[in-house]
Amino acid sequence: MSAADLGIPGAGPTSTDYTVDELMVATLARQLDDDDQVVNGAASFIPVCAFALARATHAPKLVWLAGAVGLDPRPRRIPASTLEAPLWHRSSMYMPQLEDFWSYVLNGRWLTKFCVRGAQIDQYGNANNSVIGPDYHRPKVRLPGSAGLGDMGSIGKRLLYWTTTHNPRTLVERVDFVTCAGWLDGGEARSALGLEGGPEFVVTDLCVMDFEPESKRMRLRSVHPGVTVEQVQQATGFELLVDGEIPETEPPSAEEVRLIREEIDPDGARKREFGG
Amino acid sequence: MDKIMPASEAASLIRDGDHVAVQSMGTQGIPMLMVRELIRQHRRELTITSVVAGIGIDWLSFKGVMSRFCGPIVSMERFGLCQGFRRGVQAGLIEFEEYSETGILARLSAGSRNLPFGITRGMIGTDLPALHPDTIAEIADPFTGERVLACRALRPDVCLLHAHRADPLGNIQYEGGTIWPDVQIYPKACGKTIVTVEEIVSEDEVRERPHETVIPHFAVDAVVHAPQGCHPTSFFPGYVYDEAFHEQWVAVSRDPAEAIAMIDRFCAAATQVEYLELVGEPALASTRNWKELA
Repeated sequence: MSAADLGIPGAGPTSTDYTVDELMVATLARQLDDDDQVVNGAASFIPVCAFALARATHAPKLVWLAGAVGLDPRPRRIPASTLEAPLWHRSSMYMPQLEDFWSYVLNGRWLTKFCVRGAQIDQYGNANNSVIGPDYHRPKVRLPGSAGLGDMGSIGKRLLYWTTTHNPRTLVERVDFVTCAGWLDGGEARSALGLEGGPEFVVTDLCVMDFEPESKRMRLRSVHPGVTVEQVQQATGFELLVDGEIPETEPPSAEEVRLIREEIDPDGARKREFGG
Repeated sequence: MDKIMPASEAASLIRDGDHVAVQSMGTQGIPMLMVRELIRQHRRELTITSVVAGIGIDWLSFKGVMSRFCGPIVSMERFGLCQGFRRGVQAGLIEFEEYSETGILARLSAGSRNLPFGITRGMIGTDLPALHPDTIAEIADPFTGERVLACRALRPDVCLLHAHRADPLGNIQYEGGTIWPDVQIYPKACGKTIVTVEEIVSEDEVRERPHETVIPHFAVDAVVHAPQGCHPTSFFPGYVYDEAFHEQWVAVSRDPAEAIAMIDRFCAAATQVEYLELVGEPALASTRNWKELA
């Protein structure tokens, strides 16, 4: 459901003048509600812009912990780092990570949605940010490592995935290593371990997906304007579930595009996620 | 007792083979003077723990100082992967003992309180626990039977921290609270604590701001004066990361010979004063002027 559907003032008509980064930002923003609290990690420009956009439109009370430090910041623009102090500009609190941040995260009452990007994401929403290759100890590529990902998939969070590289290397049938627990082997595998929450939503540079409730397999929900279902399937390393007619992803409104370009991210930091 | 000493003397508290916890949050807060001193003194076979390891760990990797990293992530954030570390792991020269963030913090928390293990619900369902049969074990909550992971206590030999101020006794002060977990947990979990500081002040000055003291003198073994001691990483609120320096590092670190040449050039500086002269005041000033630019 878009901001326009909800009758949010200023949401206005959809725009035809937008780019895929703006589409992804607006699509992710629509997943966030007024009573959510969210946190961003490293090099997370799409989520950070989405948080700011949600706060500027349909979710003004959305709580944002910038870089897991700055409470409700008011950055003048999105800086080149999503962890460093310029993003925490005019925060109302700097949150000590050890006791405070992790306690609020683990408590269960707060920060129930978490945005995740993985070098690999598989058909059951497991994510890998550890190693590429079959041998963990002699990897083909050593990736950065778990950080908080190894926690967020296991502690009941609702996971929202984003990736700007929808291709068969990112969207794989089975991750080489499970850094972040998704639906594991699908079906009841996750609940059998007593895990709550799980992956719910995926936005890429081509489409929007979710997970079929029974099998927990990734399912196509909408294709971005100009993209076909066949193109999405060809760019995916496993067979996507496709139920019936697939609609186009709702484009951002003219006002959303204006907010992103002029007020939230005038320097275009969000484009850093597209190899630029 | 006066704990102020030069970096060279503080580094002598660290032996080959030690486990060293190093403050680090990507491009933030790495005690780089001590990192360079470990390279200068040719330490070998160190295990390093950091929360988010950055350029310092890359330098230790390229110079063969570190043989194992024990922690959750190695990344220079917007500047990408640490190439020396990545090459070392891929070549089998460096081991990455990888935990989730709550996993490593549970290990250190247990170490800090002299408990046998900490617990977490993190990592359940991932492939991480199976990597660590000696330090991670699935156990049942004795009261409810619920599945949790026991994380064996970790007590590194030494920690390296950077702070805003210290007095000669070793009382350590931070401006604006202890944002990062390193500062709160390492001094309690580690056998020795070495702190580099922006400024040395008198005990009287510390007593004017006791609310800013976050590590008590009795837990501190060495204090080293290091103005802009985290350069090229940031130290809030004084200065941000040096963007040009990191970009230069990203460019040269693709080639090991060039990378080592850059490290050697900066490690040739025997003191922080010499290092800052090498970097040059214009570059340093630009990192301090970030608030006007933010």
